[in-house]
Order: sequence, then structure tokens, then C-alpha cells
Amino acid sequence: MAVDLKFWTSLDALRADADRRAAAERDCFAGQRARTGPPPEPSRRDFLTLAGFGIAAAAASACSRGAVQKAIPMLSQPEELTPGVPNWYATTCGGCSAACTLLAKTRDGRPIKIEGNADSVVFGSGTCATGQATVLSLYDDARLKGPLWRGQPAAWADIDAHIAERLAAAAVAHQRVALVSKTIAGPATRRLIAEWSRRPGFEHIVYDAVSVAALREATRAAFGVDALPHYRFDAARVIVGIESDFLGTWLSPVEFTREYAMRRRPESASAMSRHVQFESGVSLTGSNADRRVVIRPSQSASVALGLLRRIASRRGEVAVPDVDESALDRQTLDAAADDLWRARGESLVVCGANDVDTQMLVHAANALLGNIGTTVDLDNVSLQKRGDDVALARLVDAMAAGRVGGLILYGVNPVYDAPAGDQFAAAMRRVPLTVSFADRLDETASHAEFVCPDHHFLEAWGDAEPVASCYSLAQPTISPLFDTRAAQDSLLLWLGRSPDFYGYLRSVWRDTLFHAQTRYTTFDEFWDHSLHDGIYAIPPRTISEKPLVADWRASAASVARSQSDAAASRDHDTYELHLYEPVAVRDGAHANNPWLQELPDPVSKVTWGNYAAIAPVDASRLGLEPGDIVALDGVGGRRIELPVHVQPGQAPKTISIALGYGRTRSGRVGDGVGVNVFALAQVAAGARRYARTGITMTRTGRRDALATTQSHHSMEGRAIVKETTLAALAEPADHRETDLPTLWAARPRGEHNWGMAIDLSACTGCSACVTACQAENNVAVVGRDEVRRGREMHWIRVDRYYSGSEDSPATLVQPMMCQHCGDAPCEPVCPVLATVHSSDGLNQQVYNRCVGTRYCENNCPYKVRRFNWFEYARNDRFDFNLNNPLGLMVLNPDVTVRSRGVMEKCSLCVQRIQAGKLEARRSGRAVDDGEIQTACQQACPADAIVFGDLADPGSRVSQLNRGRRSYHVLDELGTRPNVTYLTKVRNA
Amino acid sequence: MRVADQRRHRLLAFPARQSRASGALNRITDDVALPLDTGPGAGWLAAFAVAATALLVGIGCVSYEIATGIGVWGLNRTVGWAFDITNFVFWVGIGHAGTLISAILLLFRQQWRTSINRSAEAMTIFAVICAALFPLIHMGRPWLAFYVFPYPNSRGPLWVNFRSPLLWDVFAINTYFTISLVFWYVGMIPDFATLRDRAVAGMKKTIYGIASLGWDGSQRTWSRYEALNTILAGLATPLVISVHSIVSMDFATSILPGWHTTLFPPYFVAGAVYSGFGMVTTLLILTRVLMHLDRYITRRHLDAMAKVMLLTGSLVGLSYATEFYVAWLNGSVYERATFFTRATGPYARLFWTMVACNAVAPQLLWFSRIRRSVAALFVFSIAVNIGMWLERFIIIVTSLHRSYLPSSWVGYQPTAIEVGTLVGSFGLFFTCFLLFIRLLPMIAIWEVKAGCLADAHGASDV
Amino acid sequence: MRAVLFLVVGVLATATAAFAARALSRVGVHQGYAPEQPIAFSHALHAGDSNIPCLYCHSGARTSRHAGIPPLNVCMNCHALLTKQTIDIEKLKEAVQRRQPIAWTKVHNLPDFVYFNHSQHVGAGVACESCHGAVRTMQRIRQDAPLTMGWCLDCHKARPPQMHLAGQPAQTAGGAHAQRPGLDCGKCHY
Repeated sequence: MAVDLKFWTSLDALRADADRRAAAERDCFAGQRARTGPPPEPSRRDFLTLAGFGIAAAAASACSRGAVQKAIPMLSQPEELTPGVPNWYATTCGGCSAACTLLAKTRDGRPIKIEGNADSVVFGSGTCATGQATVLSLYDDARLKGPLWRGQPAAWADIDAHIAERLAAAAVAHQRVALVSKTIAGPATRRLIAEWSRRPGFEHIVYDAVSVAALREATRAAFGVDALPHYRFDAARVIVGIESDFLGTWLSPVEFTREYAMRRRPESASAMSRHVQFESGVSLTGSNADRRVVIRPSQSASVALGLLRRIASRRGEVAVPDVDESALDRQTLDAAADDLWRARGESLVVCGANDVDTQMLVHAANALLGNIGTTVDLDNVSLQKRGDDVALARLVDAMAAGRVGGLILYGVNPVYDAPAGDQFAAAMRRVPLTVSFADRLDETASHAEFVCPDHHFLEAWGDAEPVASCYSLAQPTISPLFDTRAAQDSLLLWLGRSPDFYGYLRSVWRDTLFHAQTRYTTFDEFWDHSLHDGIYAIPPRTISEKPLVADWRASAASVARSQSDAAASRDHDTYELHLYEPVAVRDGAHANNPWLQELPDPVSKVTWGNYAAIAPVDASRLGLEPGDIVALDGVGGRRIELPVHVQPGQAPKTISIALGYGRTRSGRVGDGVGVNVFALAQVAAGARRYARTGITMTRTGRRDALATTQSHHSMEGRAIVKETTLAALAEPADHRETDLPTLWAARPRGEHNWGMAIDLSACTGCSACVTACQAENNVAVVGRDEVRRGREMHWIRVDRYYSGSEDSPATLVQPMMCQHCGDAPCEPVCPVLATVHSSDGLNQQVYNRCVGTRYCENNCPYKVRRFNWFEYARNDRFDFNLNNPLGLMVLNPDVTVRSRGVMEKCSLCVQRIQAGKLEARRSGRAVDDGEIQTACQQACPADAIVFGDLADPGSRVSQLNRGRRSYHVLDELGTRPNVTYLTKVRNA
Repeated sequence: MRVADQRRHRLLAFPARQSRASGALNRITDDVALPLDTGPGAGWLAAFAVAATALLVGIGCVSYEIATGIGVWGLNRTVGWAFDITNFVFWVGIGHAGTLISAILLLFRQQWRTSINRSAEAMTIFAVICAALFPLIHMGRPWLAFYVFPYPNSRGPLWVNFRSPLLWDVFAINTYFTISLVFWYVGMIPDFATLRDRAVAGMKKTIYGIASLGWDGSQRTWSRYEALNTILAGLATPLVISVHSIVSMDFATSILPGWHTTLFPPYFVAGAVYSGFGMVTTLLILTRVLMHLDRYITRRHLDAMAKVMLLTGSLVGLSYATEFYVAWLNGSVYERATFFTRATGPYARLFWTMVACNAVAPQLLWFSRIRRSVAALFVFSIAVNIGMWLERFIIIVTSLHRSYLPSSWVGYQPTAIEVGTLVGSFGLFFTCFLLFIRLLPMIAIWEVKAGCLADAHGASDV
Repeated sequence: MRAVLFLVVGVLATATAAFAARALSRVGVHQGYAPEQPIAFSHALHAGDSNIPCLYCHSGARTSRHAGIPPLNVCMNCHALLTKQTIDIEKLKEAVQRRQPIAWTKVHNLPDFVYFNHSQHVGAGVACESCHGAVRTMQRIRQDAPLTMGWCLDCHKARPPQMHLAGQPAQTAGGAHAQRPGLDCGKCHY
């Protein structure tokens, strides 16, 4: 553990100049490289140089001797730590409520990269873009450097005294004290809060920024289980999704993507799964479906009912309330129901609508299909979201009525993301004691009297139980950067206990898990193993089929009623609003993370801000161009203005808008990016629905061009992303490309021939690889304006093409990075040999030789080369993570930070290749297949990317390369890429 | 050479005639040397002010670009070149006319060239200077430009990539510049001598004295001079072909649809000569008016130049047609898409302007009335300049902005800095040219004399 | 007369050019750089006279890209026992008491864009001396090699047998998989 790290240093300040800047801030980073200091005495040669050769050489040689560099060794070096050698610590992600298990790579005491924990049976080795980016939020300079009292820095002791006093006062006055927290993943923390709950008048309210409370409500009603079902997409042969983006943001995207992708490969042992999606906005999930059916948000209930009715009738159940389906596509409903029925017991219906009745119908459908206990696991439930909308609503009333004596906010920001945020802010003023654990002075914390900043999860102890019986631990990977304190420590302290959550955590694990197991005799042994592995799974309870206890017909009836009312009252000139959680910034908690702001939306490819996605038909009817700003009214007199994005496949007369933008107090990067639309969520009976009707849209005449990374969406009939159907694949057809003749002499074969294979069937386009690459390779963030100018620097991008009609197109995605061509067009044109071919098949870019003619970029048919148009590091024009000492600490010391004026591109993570080769050589063996992983491959939750040695016929990549689905993009050019793609297979 | 010698023999052998001729000859000297002796006129001053301002604008833009980064231009991840290389090719092209006129026409003994070749050569020099500027400033790290020269170094040693057309460019441009410069200077030596002899003692005399390298006008000097001149002409002539062929290979050797074609070398050479003559015409007509030299730059000259432009312009037009035909013929979807986009896409308006200027307009020159109308030719020559600049822009940008993967298709918009740099290059060019016509004999005195002597003698023989 | 003039001018010009070229070729080369250190540590004494192996103090060279400067506790391994006192040893002990690490001046500085890994070379059996020179005789540590790319390539072009290898490691780690050191740019520049 890096806890007692003091006076360590790395000698490679050469690479990570971060340290040098950070020197001032923390003594443990002290003076890697003193900027100043006496210049070395000029040698005789220098003297001659200066004397002998006029100004030019004088200037040249003068600047050639860099600043004197200091090398500061550790005082006493911890055994497990060698400067320059990375350490890996298992931990648990705090990026969202899914609580994935992670490995954090620390280098010289700094966490610099996040990877998935391959030992986890739930999440696997993959991550999501958000998870990858969490390491950057650690170095966010908008984080509070210490506790605040009334907005002023204060000492912990004083604050604790004050708070204890107020809590006592509240107790005396018999006033309620409410703890509003995000979903607490950790059993230990839950236990701690339980101890608080014993205090009279204490109340714990769990609040999720994006709520799925209705699902939990329905599950309780339907099965008597007070939790979310644990869905098993790997067990599902037929999947029907209704307004649920389970691959992108819903509940546990990494887990779901992994399981989903397992069954999307034609080679997969179990038959390829079939996926039908009913949705209004084009979600990442919908874009992957075999069949995507466009509906209005308000129709999701009737779709659920429609499915249920059909299934029920097949089961011979009768008297299912009918609903007018004229607005729906009956054939598709029939087909979907048929598929589900045929695969009963192996099918799955999921719905994202936060509406109890709808969820009841979905549960009923799954029950009737016999999916409970197979694809819907109610024994090992998911604890990933436990929010209770109604309770929060009640609390706000109580606060406003002055009946709340104390309010503690833990990891929540309701002023920003509650529909009635301003009411919450107002109500807070009526509360005598308001404490926030926020890591920054966010929209809510700025209204709190006390701000006691919590650690970043990479600095803190913790545990998690995302799915019942699957436990994981979180441990500090760096000693706290600032004067922050773990929220749990604060809670312990105010409870009159010693602020030692580490001890508390151990005791909880001792009392519960340790005693429940027999493998380890001593607790320390058990603890060390669990901490090392990061995960501890007790044998899961056998999955049983739970009976459906509730009467779903009632819900069906109410749905039918509300639907017919809606149909009656439907006004045809107004629009429906559909709010969704975007893949990158999610609920807005990560808004200040430049990596996520610059991550293109997997479908729309828009960066830096949200927009009103409208259907092409609506756009052409209103004469709206992408980027035209429209005004949306009809939400309680509230008017919002957003630029338009014309989204093929968007449901007509609906407008989809991403949540999570429009932060005002997140920090320099995130403030003022996009518009906050949380307030547009509809509160019905306490539950938040992310859809509403009766919106009018008017054009303002103003424009605000969207910062999109892809402006052309058709493949123009070119065979770039190859697609086939399962049937077509079955029939024998030899499509292998014949090797084109080449004029170049064959290169001498090196020891290796590194290559990559990308399975377009498995790839969902989630873009985790993009952020992973950005983190691994120090890829610069360029900001909105530069993205608008088409200058984003991502080494790997996910190209997205539409085919078919504008109204319901098929979507194709293709990760595209340097193809490492055998005969690379970029190589012969460089006048200075700055891009050359290596003996082991890599196309290498030599930054320090590059003079920046950009001919390689022009001549690259894949357009994967990226030019440094400006100095992106330490430049106030680009005030992102590379422009502040803290942000620089995330840099990977093994990769050069590119200077202005040079070309850069994907190197296939050559630093990892070199490290892997060295490791193998040191232990006197050859490199094993799969031993070296590129950043994109390692991050991919779908396992769509495979890297390896093409010179080794047995390697996985070689086998895929030989497979009948493999092809090379633009093969006819004779570039002979080392990156192979596997044709996408849909089951038609 | 033989012909020329005979001329001079006559000149020396028949002193009786000389008196008759000498009046005319002195007149020539006076006319040409007039601008060098008198102060600048209002017209010149105005023109110089404009040019110098433009030059300053250019210097400002380039300094800003080098200080900040190429990002101040409108380029992006897909369009790596635009104004920068367009200007480069444009200026190299301009240069060609000078060499063509002076060298090739010398070899072919075209008398009419004598009064224009000097300024044409000067134009070449200045154009090549402007051209050479752009490869330098278009680099991401111009301060490392020396990497493109093969020189012994402590890196292993590490050499340059001789396979790269950009490197061929470096050599081509340098050679071209050197030869042109020497050729131009050598051409001026006798005139320097003349001016030296006219000048009364003082600064001027010394300068002209040094410049004329001790010229004594003796038989021996003349014959060696002729020899040297012809050799240089012989050296310069292939350059007219080679330089622009190599420049064209910057594109032809790529794999980009719209660039990757074997047609480029001849197409570019024709285009270069076309644009070069366009520029010469512009300049000559200007000087003709500004410096009142209409007795030397006659309609006959303009007519001849117009004919050359008619020829080369038609060649260019033919090349355009061929490009499209080949794109259609080879059946590559990428080629077809590129040329379809070129004629219909976002840059279609520029494309059709280019066609009008370079392919259609020259056909008017079949009519001698247009060929001999100074005003018409002037307008036409401006059109040629615009058209030929657009040609390079079209080739570079339309080919780049939509190539193989539609996912990378983008647009390109120049920024003020780019436009300023273009303006600046014109500023540099005209500043140099205006200084030239004030400080150096802008018409080859000795050649004109020789020419009209021949005429005089021919007349007297009748 | 004239000929002589031309000759003189020619010779002078050539000489200047040659000198300029040489001067420029040494820009950024710091061979012989030997800055003063906060503690006058003598490699001659430790590595030379007392014959302490390099890797005892610079243990990182075996496992890391950085040879590493020994943490003070390594110094104290011996100096805790040794009775000899000098001003410099005093400085050392004071630093330990004040828990204040010593800021040495780095001598061998490679540019940011070069990746050099000590363990890779030590593992392949390259002797420390072949790059760092006769450290055993240096009172004050000095940059012995020019550390130019050409200098690196001198070895990388050579095949292992011709390389100056230290006895031991060559047989073990390096021996089995010892192969020609790479000439690919991407071996060091990424």
C-alpha cells in the first residue's frame, strides 16, 4: 500500500514533468527537478564554441544545456517500491454505482492507469470510459484542498467540534438528522450508517441522480424482493429492451456489455443471441440491436403491455386488458413476442422506464416466460442502485417546514440533479446544520455550511457488494493529495468513535465474511489475500424461480387506462421529451473530467455538451440544420435553449436530450458545457420519469455548431465495415483476399510481427478503448473549438456509419487506429525518416525526428495520424489537465509528451510491447501469447480487440486472422495492414 | 552563336555604318538607364507602398504562425495541406516563364524575347524565393528544417529519406534557384559595364564596376561570354521540365485519389508555363505603362506571349479533361467519387471558375484582335493568375478533404492568417520586382542593341 | 599575387566552415560534465578502494529503467557502523536525522524523447563501465560518454560477441535470449 509513502521520488522527471511542477505542493513529490539553480560551468569546448562561432552557435549551445536536474533518492525505500517499476493495487471503482472491480497501476507512488480486475467473475477484465477516466478526476485541481466552514478554509478540529455541538443540539431538540447519500456500495459503510440509524431522529435517504426506484419498487411488489434483479444477459438467447441502454449506462454497463458480447459472436458456443430494442432516442444499446423499433417514450408502457398480452395469450392466460396499438408496429411486437416465447426460459425483457406499472408488466412478462431464475436472478440480487425518490421528496418538504435539524450530504448533488433542485437549495437554508462530503464546492456543497471533502476513491479504504455474495475491497493507491478525510472517518468521529475506518472495515470483514469461510485460518491471512485479489466471492446462492406474487393484471389495467387517456389527450403539434444518461459524463458527476468531455458520444459522435436530438423528418419540416439553436417550452414555464442534432433513427416528434451537462460549479473544464435538463424530469407520485409530453419547439435563429468528430455518416457504398447475416455466413463462400503483388522488396522477417484483430460483431462502440488509449498514451485534450475544427487527438476512434433509411437506419461501428501497414503509404513520403517500419511489423513514429510536413497524414488512407497543431501541454490556450501541475501527474512516464509541430499516432502501445519483451527475456523465455495487451484491448469489456504476434501461427490473433470472417480495410490499396477486422454478423 | 558573332563582326567591321546606328543605340541605353538615373515617379512610389504593406502583413502572419503553431491555419486532421502548398506550387510555376523565355527562346534564337527576358528572369528569381518560403514555413517545426539536408551528424549517422518526393523537391528547388540566379546575373554583366561607362565617377561607378567583373567588351570577352551564356541556357532548359515535374510528384507519388496519376508531370509543366506567361504578361503590361517602355515591349511581344498561352492553356484544358476521363475509365469508386465531388461538391464554384480561367478563356486568344489588345490581354493575364492558383488549390484540397474513409471527411476553411500569408508572398514578389526595375537594367541593353543592329543592317542591305 | 590571395581566402573559408561544423556537432553534448555534488561522494573510494559492487547501491539497475540513487538507509547500512567521521559523513548523518533527503545533481541526462532502460542492458550483460567509464577512479562522478545517438548505435550495430560484456549476467539472463540489440527507432523513441 502506498499509505506510508514519504520522501519517495522518481528519477524520471525527464518524462513526467508533472513532478517538477508539483514539487511545491507536496513534500513527497519534492523537487524532482529544480527549475533554477546555478548553471554548470561552461566546459572548454563550450568556450570554444561560443568564442569560435558567432551568435547562432552561441545561442544554440547555450540553450542546449538544459536546466540542472536534481535527483532526490528516498530516505528509506519501501521494499515493494522501486522507482521506475509500476505497482498494481486491486480496488473498487467509485465512478458510478456499478462498483466494478479494478486494478490501479501506480508508478512511483502515483496512480496513472485503471484496468479491470480479470479475476472478477462479474465484471471481467474490461472497464468503461468513465472508469478509465476516474484516475484523472483524482488529479482534478477543482477538488477541495481542505475542509470549509461557511466557505472559508477551517481546521478539521474546529469543524468537528462545531458539528458535534450542532448534532447534540439537534438531538436535544428532537429534530431529525438526515443523511442523504448516493447508493452505498460497501457493506462496511452500510453497517456504519446503520449504527447512525440507532440515533433517535436519524434518517438515511439514498438518492440516485438517475433513478431506477420504480424497478426496485416493482420487484418488491412482484416478487417480494427489495432490490434490483440481477440480469444475466449471457444466459439470454433473445433479448428485448425497452428504453433501456443496458450497454451504455443502465445499472451495470460493463457487466452487461461483457455478457452481451459473449453471445454476439457466431463462433460462440451457445447460439448467437437475438436482440430487439424498442426506443425513442438512438442509444448505444439500440444501435447494436438486430432490430430497432422506434417508439415514443410514452409508448414504452404499451409496448410492455403488448408483449405481455401476446405472451400471456400463448400461455393460455386470458382477460389481459387491451390497449390501442394503432400507433405501434404490430408485426414487430408479434415477432418479438414469438422470439421470446420460442426462447422461453432463455429470454429476457428489460425496461428502463422509471414507472412502476411498466416494470410490473415487464416482470410479469419475464415470469410468464419462465425467465425468473435463469436470466433474471432474484437470489443474488443487484445492490447497485438503491435510491428512493419518494423519501427524498418527503425530506425536502420536511426541510422546508423546518422540521430537519441536520442534513448530511454524502456523494450527492441534488441542487444540480434533482428535478426540484432550486427547492432543495431553498430548503437547505431552513436547516440549522448542513454538512457536505463533496470533493469540490459543487452546486449543493456551496449551500452547505460545512464542507468536509471526502477522499477520491483511489485514496480511500472501502469495500463493495455490487451483486449479492460478490464482495470487493478498495484500498488507497496514493496518500491523500490534499487535506481531505474519508467520509466514513468523519461519520465515525461524529458518532464518537475513533476515526479509523480502516480498522472498522477490517472488523466488519472479520465479523461477517471471515467467519463465514473456512479456507483461511487467521483473519490477517484472509484479509491479505482478499486485499491482494481485490475481490472475495462467497459461493452464490442457487438460483431459484420466484413466484410472481403480485397481480399484474391491475398494473396492466392502469397502464391501459393511462395509455388511452394519453392517446385521447395527445396533442399532435407538441413534442415528447426523452432524457437519457450519456455514456461519457453519465449523471454529471464527471463533468469536470476533460477526457470524458472530449469523448465522442458513441452514436452521435458529438463532444463537449448536449443537444436536442430530433428526427430527420422533423428537422426538414422545420427547416432545422444541425447546430441551429432551438427553444423548448412546456415545462412549468421553464424555457431551455439547445443546439439541434439531427439524429437518424430518432423517433419522430420526440426530442432526446442528455442529462449530466450544464454544471455551474464543477470546475474550469465542466462549467457551462451544455445545458442542465435534470429539471425537465417529470415527477409523478414522487418517482422521477425521464420523459414528458407537451413540449413545443421553436427555432431561435441563432446557431452554435456542435463539436462533432464525424460529419459524414454514409459509407458511400464502400466496403469499409463488412456486414453479413448468420445465414449468409453459414453457406460456404471463400472471400479470402488474394495477396496483391507489391513492388517493394520483402522486408526481412523480424523476431515478431505484431498485429491486431478486431471483432466487429463483439464491438458495441462503447468507446472505453478511446479513453483507455488517452490515459495510456498521454493523448492531449484539445477542447471544443479544436474538435469543431476537426483536430481531436485521439489515437483510436470509433467510426460510426448508418445504412438504410434515415428514419430507422442500421448502425455500424468500427474502431479505427493506425493499421500498421506492411507497405505503409506514410513511410516513403516522409523526407526525414520520421516514420519508419520496425523489424517486428510496427509502423513507428519518431517524434523527435519529425519536422511536421504532414505529408504522412495526407497520404494515410485511414486518416489515423494526428498532428500537434499547437503546444497542448502547459499552454493556457488549452487549459485542461496538461496545463496544471496536478493534472500532469496522470501522465504515463513511459510515453513521451509530444511537442508542438510533430505528428503522432497509435503505436500499438509499443511501450507495453517493449516491457513485455523485456520481462520475458529477463526470465529467459519467449513472449507468451496474450502476455502483452494494448490499452484498448485491455479496456474492452466486450473482448473485441485481440493483440498478438502474427509470426506465431498458434497465437490467438493469427487464428482470427486466418478465420473466414477476417478482412483488411481498404485491402485493395495493397497497404497490407497488420490490423485485421472480423466481419460483423447480425442475425437477420 | 555563329549568328551573333557575325553580327558583332559587322558592328566592328563597318565603322561607317556605326555612326548611323550609334544614335539609335545610345537612345536605347538612355531609355533603359533612365529609371536608374532619375528619381522614382509617383506611380512607382504608389505601387511600392502597396507592395511593401502587403509584405509587412505577410511577415506579421508568418511570425505569428511560427510563434504559435500551424494551428492558426485552417488545416485539420484530414486536410494537411491547403494554402501553404498551393502557394508553393503556384510560385514555382510562375518562375518557369522566366527560364523558358530566356533560356529556351535564346536557344531557338527568338529575337522578340530580348526586350522581355531580363525582367522575366528577374521574375523567376523572385518567384522561386517566394516559393521556397512555403515548404519552410509549412513545417510544424521550421527551426528543424535542416533535418531535410543530408549532412554528416552524430545520430548514427542518420540520413534523409531519398524515396521522399519532398526531398526531391528540396534538391530541385535549390538547383533551380542557383542556375536561374547565375544565368540572370551573367546576362546583366555587359549592361553593368555599359552603365559603368556611362556613370560619372563615384559610388555608382564603383558598384557597377564591381558588378561588371572588369568587363572590357573585347572580342575575347564577348566570345567567351556567348559561350557561357549558351551553356547556362542549356543547363537551365531541362530545369523548366524537371523542376515542375518533380513538384508534381509531390502529389503523383501519393496514393490519394486526385493526386495519384501519371498525367501530372506534363500537366504541371504546361500549367507552370501557362501561369508563368500569365504573370509575365501582367508585369510587362504594368511596366510598359508605368515606365513608358512601349517602344520596347511592343504589341508584337504581347502577341507572341499570347500565342504561347493559347498553346499551354489548351494543354491544361486537355489535362483537366483527361483527368476526368481516366477517373471514369479506371472504375475505382474512390477516383470517381473524388472527381465527382470536385465538380459538384463544396468547392464546385472554385472548380468551375478555374475551368473558365484556364481552359475556356485561352480559346479567346485565337482571335488576333484580342491578342493585340493590351487591355484585353491584361484582364486575361489576371484571370490566368487566379485560375492557376485555384487549380493548385482544387487539386490539393478537394482531393484531401474527402478521401477513402467517409468517417474522416471534413471541410476546410482558410483563416485570415493564411490569406495574409498569401498576400504577403505577393508583397514580397512585387517589392523585389519594383526594386529591380529601379536598380537594375530591366531590359537587356546589349541584346536589344544587337537585335536592332541586325535589323538595321538587314534594312541597309536592301 | 592574385593566386595567393585566392588561396589564402580559400583556406580561411574552409577552416572556418570546418570549425563551425565541429562546433555545431557538439551542441547539446555534455561529455565530461561533472557538477559539484551536495556531498563530495567519491566513487573512487567506494567503488574503487573498498570495491563495493555497483549494483549494491544502484540496485535499481537490475530491475528498473532507473539505476537509482541509493536511499540514505543504504548508506547507513555501513556508515552506521563505521566510526570514521568527515564533514561529508556528518552531512549524511544530519540528513538522516532531519529526515531530509539529499538533492544530488543529476549527471547523466538523456532527453525526454529517449527511453533508456538500465535493467534491459544490465540484463543483457552490458558492463556498467562500457557506458559510465572508469567510475572506480572518479573522485567526482563525471559523464564519460558523449551519450549521443551515434554513440548508442555503435554498440547496437555490433552483435553481442563483439560487445563489451561483464562476465556474470551474460551467461544467465542475457545469454539464453541474447540477440542483436535493436536498431528500430521505436526501441528507444516512443
